[in-house]
Amino acid sequence: MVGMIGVDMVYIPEFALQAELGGDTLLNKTFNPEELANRGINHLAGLWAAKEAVYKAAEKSPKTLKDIIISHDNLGKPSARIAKQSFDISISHHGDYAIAVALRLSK
Amino acid sequence: MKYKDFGKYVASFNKFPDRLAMTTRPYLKIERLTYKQLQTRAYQTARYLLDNGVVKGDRVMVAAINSPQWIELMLGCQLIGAILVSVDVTNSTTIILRYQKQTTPKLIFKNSSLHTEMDKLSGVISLDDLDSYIDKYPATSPIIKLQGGLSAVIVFTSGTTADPKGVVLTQENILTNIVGIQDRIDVDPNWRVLSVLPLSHMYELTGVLTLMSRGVSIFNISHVTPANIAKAMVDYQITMILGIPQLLSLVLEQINQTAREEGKTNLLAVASKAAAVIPFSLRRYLFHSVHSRLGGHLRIVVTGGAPIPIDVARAWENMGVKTVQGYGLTETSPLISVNSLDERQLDSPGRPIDNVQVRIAGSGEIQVKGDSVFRGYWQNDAATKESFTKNGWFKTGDVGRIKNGWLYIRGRIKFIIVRSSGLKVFPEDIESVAEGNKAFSDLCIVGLVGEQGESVLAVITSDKSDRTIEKAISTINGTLESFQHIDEWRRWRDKDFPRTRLGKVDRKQVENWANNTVILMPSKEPDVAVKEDQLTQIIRLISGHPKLQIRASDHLADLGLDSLRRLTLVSLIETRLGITIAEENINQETTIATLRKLLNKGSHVEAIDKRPKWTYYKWVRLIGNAVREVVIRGLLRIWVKLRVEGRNNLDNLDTPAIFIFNHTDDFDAPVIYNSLPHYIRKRLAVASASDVLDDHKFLAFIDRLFYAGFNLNRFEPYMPSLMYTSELIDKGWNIVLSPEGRLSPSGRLLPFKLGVGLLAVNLGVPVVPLKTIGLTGTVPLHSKWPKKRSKVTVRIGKPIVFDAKSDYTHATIELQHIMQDL
Repeated sequence: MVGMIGVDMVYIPEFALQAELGGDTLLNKTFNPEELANRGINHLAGLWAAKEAVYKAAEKSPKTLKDIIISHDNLGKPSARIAKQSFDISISHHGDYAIAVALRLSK
Repeated sequence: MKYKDFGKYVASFNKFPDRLAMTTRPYLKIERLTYKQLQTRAYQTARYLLDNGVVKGDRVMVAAINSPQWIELMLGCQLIGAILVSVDVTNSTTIILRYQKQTTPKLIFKNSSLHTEMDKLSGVISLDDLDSYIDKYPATSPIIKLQGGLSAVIVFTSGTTADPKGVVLTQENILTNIVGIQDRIDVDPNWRVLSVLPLSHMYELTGVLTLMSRGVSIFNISHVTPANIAKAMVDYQITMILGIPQLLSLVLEQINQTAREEGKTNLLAVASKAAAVIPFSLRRYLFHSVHSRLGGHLRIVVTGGAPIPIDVARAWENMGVKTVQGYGLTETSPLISVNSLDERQLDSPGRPIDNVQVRIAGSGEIQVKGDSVFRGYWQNDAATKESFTKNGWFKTGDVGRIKNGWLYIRGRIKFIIVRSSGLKVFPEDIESVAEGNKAFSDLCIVGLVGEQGESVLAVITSDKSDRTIEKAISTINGTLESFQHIDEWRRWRDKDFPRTRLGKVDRKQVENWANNTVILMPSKEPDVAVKEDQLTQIIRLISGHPKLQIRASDHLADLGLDSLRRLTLVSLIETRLGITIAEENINQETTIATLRKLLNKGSHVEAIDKRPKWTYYKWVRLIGNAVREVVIRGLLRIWVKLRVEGRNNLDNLDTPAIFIFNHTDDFDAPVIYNSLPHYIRKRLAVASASDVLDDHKFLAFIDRLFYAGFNLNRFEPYMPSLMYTSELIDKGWNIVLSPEGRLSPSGRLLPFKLGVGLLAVNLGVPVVPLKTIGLTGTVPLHSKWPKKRSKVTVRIGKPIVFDAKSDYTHATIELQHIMQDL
């Protein structure tokens, strides 16, 4: 079994600035409505990092970050999928930074 | 009719005070100006200029994109005898500053977002805000003695190589030319004309002033791209364009492209053949689908700036569009000759207009005399002297002939290639033979200087192989006289030739390049700083460096645009420029030049076209409204007992207005409708989510028929939806929308979408909050039929109007608070 990992780190103040500039248009281009349910900037920065990490780990790159869907199970553990690929992800925050790691699971 | 000076010209607007003069759409809102208003603003501008110390003979500079304010300023200057130095806004700041030094203007008007480095100069004023400065001045003409001989404008000839010369034109020059054109072209006041070329060029300025002298309506677009031109043609039902050959070729190419995509190439070819033999007035029916894409009303294209390839002109004529070619120079205000509407020749720019004398000198040069010919260049007596003969004829520098009264242009004297044998070759002669050859995108013939005379060099842009090109050249040589043969060819270093602002190939630059290649560095994309425009402003904003130097060859990565910032870029292009480009089409390797091309291709037209037009047909509304009022109102009473509070808040309401409500139930559209008085109801359109309407065809039909419903895209791209909404409001429709963007079954108010604030601030129409109480659960989500009977209260809040300067995010939040507290 061969997997693939991806990692990404986000500087939250910069993310907040760009989100402010790009506004709803930017958020709607990146996130799905369910992901936007909680619009806290730290939360969204974490999701952004996760999507970038998934993008790097993906076998076939998705067209846009919106094609990557992130969901949480009952225990709050996040996972991601793009069409038929699925990923384990882990997101962490510290101070001004959010970081995420993604692991592609292959058969 | 003759005008002695611009005072008389502006006064002549009194003949048609209520006609629509200019229309523009800086952002969402469509703004209109009648001739009376334009006249008023011209008088106010004149008084404002006087108040700011501008007197007769002073210079006032303008470097801005086309707008009604540009024309107001131009006319205001003329009314006090000031000279307008009109500069092409796409020039670099450095060049504009050079013109400023040469002409020492007292005031400089510019767009606030462009050429920001000039803001620190004294006397710099934002043209965008002109109307707010002039507001307080009386709307009567200042009493200044005017005469035709006063200098009116200074326009710099486009010269990328030689030092540009400032052409000084008098009021009489321009007004004489206007009269000359009026006598040749029978202007119909009902024409609707799209203005796409820069007003800083005499072709556009005199053209627009001539059309306005008859009360024609002029339409501006703020960001000129093919997509925006196409949209404006349809929205404004344009009948005429002042164009250049390059634009006409481009539109033609897009028509062919569409035909290819739809598999109609053969049909188009057959139609073109048939068109040539049927009467002109019937041709447009043959090309019905092409015309409907162009708005369905286009009758005339005027072309100038460069000679039009004959096959392009013929293609337009075949489609039933009169193609009217003219000829002129900045120095001649500008028109020298033009075809008339009824008598057109495709290979000639027409007969000289009546108040200009034209002669062909011994050398073959076209020379001109008349009241529209300038007196001289700004502070450059040597150049002035050089450009006139001893007897006062202006030397155009073009070679041509006159046959039966029609003028034919052969080429420019300075580009004639002289063989060692003394025989002369006109580059234009060879180019017209090569025209349409599929082996090249374009071809430019220049002389290559050798020890014994010049040889003929073909410089080529093409993506074909060397062999294909060589074959094509030998074919072309076969049809030329032997002394005209192409001796050598080379590929141009870029995809396209350098061009003047009016689309002409800058032959001088090509010639210089051809003759200097030995010394030049290996060819590379020129590393010139790119034009100052909205795109550069946006990139600077995102990067956080207001002074960032941006070059055409820069990659987005060079400018620090990582994936997040690139997404901000795409988002801002969408919200600020109204253009949608797919984010997957750009990456860190994308250059600014490529991005510009994407901007030109990007389109917001598609999304809008999907909305059916029938909803707003008169008879559909008649039937839909009648059924709604009689049948549905009655049915509704079975399930909903309605109480309305705060009706008095609608007294003195300025319609159209935007009504916003809390979305708690799928039954709210009928309920909202019923809570409003009839005078609002009869012109009330309900916005529904695009994705919902697309999925439920029957529901969508009901919604459109009875509630004048239209689809609003709640996800991206939402700009086209906002444009569409503002167009409905512009046509007098009241709008009902839910700012939450989705149903809140719990009744808890969800965060508002920013679109509502954007509309409210930009359009300046009243927003009326409506709160429905007790409706939740009547028709719950996913059910088709009412589940229970409800007692419902609709509370109408006070209308609120936002100032145009407010921040739309704050406006959105304020509306949300108002709704919460209602």
